Amino acid sequence: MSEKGKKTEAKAVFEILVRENQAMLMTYLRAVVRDPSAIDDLFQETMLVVWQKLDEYDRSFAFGPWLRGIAAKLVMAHFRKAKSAMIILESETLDYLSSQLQHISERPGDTWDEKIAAMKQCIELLPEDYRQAINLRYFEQHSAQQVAAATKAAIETIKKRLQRARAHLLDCLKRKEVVMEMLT
Amino acid sequence: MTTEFDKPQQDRIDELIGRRLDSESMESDEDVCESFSPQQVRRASELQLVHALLTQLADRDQAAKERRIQNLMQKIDSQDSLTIKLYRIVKPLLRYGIAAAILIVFVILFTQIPTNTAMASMDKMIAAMDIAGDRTYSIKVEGNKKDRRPPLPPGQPPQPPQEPGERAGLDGATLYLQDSNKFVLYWNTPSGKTVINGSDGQTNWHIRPDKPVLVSNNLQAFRIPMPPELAAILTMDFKATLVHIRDNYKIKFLEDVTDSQKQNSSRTYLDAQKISSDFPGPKNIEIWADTQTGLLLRIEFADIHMEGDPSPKRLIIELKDQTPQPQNWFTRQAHHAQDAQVDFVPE
Repeated sequence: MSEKGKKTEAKAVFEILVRENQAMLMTYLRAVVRDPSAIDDLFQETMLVVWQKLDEYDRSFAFGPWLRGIAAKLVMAHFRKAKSAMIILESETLDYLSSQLQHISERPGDTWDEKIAAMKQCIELLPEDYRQAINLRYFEQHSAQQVAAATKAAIETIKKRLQRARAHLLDCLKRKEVVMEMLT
Repeated sequence: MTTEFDKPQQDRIDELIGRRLDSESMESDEDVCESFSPQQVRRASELQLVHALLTQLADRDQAAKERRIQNLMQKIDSQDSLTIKLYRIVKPLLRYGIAAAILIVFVILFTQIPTNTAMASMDKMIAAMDIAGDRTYSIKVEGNKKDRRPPLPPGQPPQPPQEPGERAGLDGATLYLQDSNKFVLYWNTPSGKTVINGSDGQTNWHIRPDKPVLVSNNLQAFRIPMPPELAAILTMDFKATLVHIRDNYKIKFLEDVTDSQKQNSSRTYLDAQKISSDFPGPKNIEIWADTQTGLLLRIEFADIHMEGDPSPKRLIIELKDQTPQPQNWFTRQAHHAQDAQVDFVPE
């Protein structure tokens, strides 16, 4: 095969790799960065670095942690450049998230949605007003203010419902072993 | 249970994380940076993970996912071709020691372009407004990219041109600009009549068919049919518009495109995404500028709503001409009959 042919084939394989890891990497980035356009930029930058350094990847180790390691460096650089800190800018946060995402990646299921299918069950188990707040906030993509207007509740009430709903979901995901109980 | 630390501590971190995750602003982190215990760090991480899993699960925008991958693969293609081009240029020099260093410098420069270049391009465009001469821009309104009709199949007769009433308001308008404070805007009413708004920098004027000419010393006077999303951002002074975009949008450099119609000319293509929903402008703006001079060539505002039309549209302003206008073009007298009745409107 010619050099050009090899390169084309390598790109086709890489595209498959990107598709397979898109949801996991986006989840990782969404956990620590809020600005959607910054998340898209970081996704692209991470995958570009991965493409450039693919020769350095040691195939005896899992691909996910290596990918997230590259993303973590770019996330830290992003926050340094923006001069705005993450809520808790600790390397432990990124390490913790990476471990949890590796655990989820190894769960049964062909797609990311299948691996986190238990989340839907956990949402169904939420008290009605918490479930409504989560649906409007995430699935209808409303702001907390809009959720408050739609439910005719005070904004502070909605924020509290969302806060408690996320805590309930975390407990449920741990019970269902989607999220690992980790010791500090 | 999830905790090894006491309930008040956990509530405190839950509240801090909730405040950040549910804030309208993207920059709400400063007030919650403090020293945290390892347990608090872990609890925060857990809640951030739940938020990310929910966001990912709720993300059903397949087009955006596909676009993300296509953008990446295009970027890889363009980087590869750039590297090959650079290699071909530098190859003959490689036998000399200095060549390798030059290659490295070039590669670093070209791969670091996107973010810095975007802001530099915006600054250049803003500066270019101060020295731009007379400019004529066309304004048109189209369906959003995803709503646009596919091209007609071969042999199918083209659709008839729109009647005057179908291209009303800013759609089909022509805007003439001089300096930062003089403009003339020709636009049509839904009944197809031409209305002219303008300013000579001292007074604003408004010319309607079969009615007196209105003149005011108030430079905000007289209504222009502006979509509500653009009211806060689009002024007839494009410099102010560009400053608003630079300050309230995340600017991304997409590419420099060679202009096929002009030799040695290229266009810089930028994409602007609104940072905060608090700012009342459109979510997405695309901008093209002359790479050499920074002159604004084209600007597209997405997802705007025209009066009486519920479907989102794109408003496109494009430079058509830079020919100097007649000396009196930016005075009202150049646009109405000498004997027209003129009413001065008090401020």
